[in-house]
Amino acid sequence: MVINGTTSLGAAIVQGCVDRGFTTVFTHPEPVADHVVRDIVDSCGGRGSPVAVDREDQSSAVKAAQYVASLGHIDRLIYVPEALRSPGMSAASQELIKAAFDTTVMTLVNFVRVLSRPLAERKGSILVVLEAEAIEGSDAEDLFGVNMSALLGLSKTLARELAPDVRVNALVPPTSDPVLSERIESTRLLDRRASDAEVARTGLDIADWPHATGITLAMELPGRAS
Amino acid sequence: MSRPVALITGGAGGIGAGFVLEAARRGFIPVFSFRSTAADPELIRQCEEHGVAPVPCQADLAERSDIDRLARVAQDAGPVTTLINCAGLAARTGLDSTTDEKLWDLMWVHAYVPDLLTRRLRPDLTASRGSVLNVSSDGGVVGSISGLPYGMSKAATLGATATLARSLAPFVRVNTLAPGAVEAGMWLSASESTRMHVEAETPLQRTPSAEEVAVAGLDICAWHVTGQTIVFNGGRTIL
Repeated sequence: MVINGTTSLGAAIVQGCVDRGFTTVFTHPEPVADHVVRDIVDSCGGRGSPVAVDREDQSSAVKAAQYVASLGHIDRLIYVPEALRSPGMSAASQELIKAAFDTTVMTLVNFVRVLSRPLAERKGSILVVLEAEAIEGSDAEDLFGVNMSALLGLSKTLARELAPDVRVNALVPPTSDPVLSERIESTRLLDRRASDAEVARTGLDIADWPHATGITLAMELPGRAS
Repeated sequence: MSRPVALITGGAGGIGAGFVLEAARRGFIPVFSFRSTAADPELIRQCEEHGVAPVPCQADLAERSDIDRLARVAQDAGPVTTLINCAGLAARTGLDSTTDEKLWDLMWVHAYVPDLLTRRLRPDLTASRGSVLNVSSDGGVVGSISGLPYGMSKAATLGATATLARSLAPFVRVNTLAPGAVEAGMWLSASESTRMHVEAETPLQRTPSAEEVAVAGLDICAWHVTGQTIVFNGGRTIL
């Protein structure tokens, strides 16, 4: 199950899951262009199926999770949050803060509520994909940074709560934020950023490891060796 | 075109043997060092089942000349694309009971040998845009229950990784895998109370096999990351 499989990285993860032999269900926000979904389905050769989720209605996420649970079994739950950056907290209304919280944090919480038991039955694993702001913070988009940090804390806490039957790990890919990305360019040791396919492979490898839980891998951050 | 070579130190048993077998499974020619215990014929046979003839090399890594000789054996076997620094020494001595010699021995094997061997193979690894994996321990990350020499020297492995990652970038990736207890090597001789204590503290309530560690390690070698330390201990330390 890949949540938000129509993002660039999400699509690579869907493809990676299919390549590893998983039957893959992926969600996409409503509305999204038909051809985006169709391209992903086509590239999966019939082994990937889309489910629409209304990002402003959490009951829609719950229904999508229930649909997946009804399929019989689930081995992987992979959450790729939408990079919905928002204005700073001081400029945001309480409603906007709540909406961002729901979209970014509660979506995963609701999927886990429904799917943790079927995942446990299969000794499955959860991978939470984060943005670099989860660790680095954000000067201009503190709301986004706070929510990403919450997801990071959520992944570590879930690793403890769902053990020993479900493994939970987090991956921080190279950032999509242009300001942070510029800072990283000057400190990057390798000569290019990892591609979406490489990020997907890394995350799916970790999700496959039977003895890995509570790991946070930040692939590329300023001030770190990578 | 010849197969790529993976040089694995300490490959005769335990985690190292897991790396040898997994490397063979992935199509590498495993060249591996052993100090005194001869290579297990069963390990050789299992590698050959994957169509690969591994190359065992007796080497005492305490001797600088043996480090150079081991590197030459690997180079003679083919293009060296992967170096797994897995050789290790066990020690269960604390501050009061350890000796200067013990501190030196563990620092040499856990920190200086990985650095020396990597620099010795730098041209090969650079040419192949290769990868180095240093096998440390979760005790090197958060302090070790095995005492000062082990914890200190395994922490120094992390420093070697960080420095090598900077020195060899962007051509060679250098990362650390830091396992906790593994069903191999020194863990097999741990007391029952230690085993129960560690298992109780481990969220996944299990101990991985050497093969699981090797799969994770060789996965990391294929990633586009450098300077990373991956703690692999079933969530016992969540950082």
